[in-house]
Amino acid sequence: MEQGQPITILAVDDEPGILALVRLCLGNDERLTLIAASSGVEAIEHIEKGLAVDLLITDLRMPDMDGDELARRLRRADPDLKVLYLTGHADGLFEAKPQLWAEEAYLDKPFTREGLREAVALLLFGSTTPSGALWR
Amino acid sequence: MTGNDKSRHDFKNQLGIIRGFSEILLAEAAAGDPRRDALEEIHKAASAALDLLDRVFPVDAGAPKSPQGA
Repeated sequence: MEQGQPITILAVDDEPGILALVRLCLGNDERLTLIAASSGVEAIEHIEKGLAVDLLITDLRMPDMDGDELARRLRRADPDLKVLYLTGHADGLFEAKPQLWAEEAYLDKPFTREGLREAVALLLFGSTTPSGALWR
Repeated sequence: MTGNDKSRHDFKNQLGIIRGFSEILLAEAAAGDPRRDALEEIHKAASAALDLLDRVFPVDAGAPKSPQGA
């Protein structure tokens, strides 16, 4: 993806504080639109209403639908969707999902602002420190 | 996910939120800001609690363990 293009991120977590933290970490750059959803079902509703997403950031463990199941469903319509899993237990991710796809990454919770920004930049631009990218 | 794992996950989330927000506030607080000391204490306490959680309730632990050095 080219730098400078508008970016839409869909963040999904059943814990409102995590969503607020993600929003604060990613800041309010005018190129970035962050849509928050509290469940997989809510996230799918956004997509069904026509939301086009560049990156899905999702908690791995959620009550109604796990993050890997959400990603699997969204990829039916968008096979190239980039996904960042937030997990407090990476071993759990690999038990259910032994292989990450090329457009996927995971970030351990609790995460730092720098860690989240680097992971997002890596997935979107292919580098953790793209010049002229967001947050510079 | 067992009940213990769920509780651990939720507790870790809450501590992560406290640490995450305090980290950002610290990064944005100017040198000499009198609130820095308080923010540093919040950040330190949240970090210590996360370490304690990992030691007392390791992942998939059936029962709490005694914290080392406690």
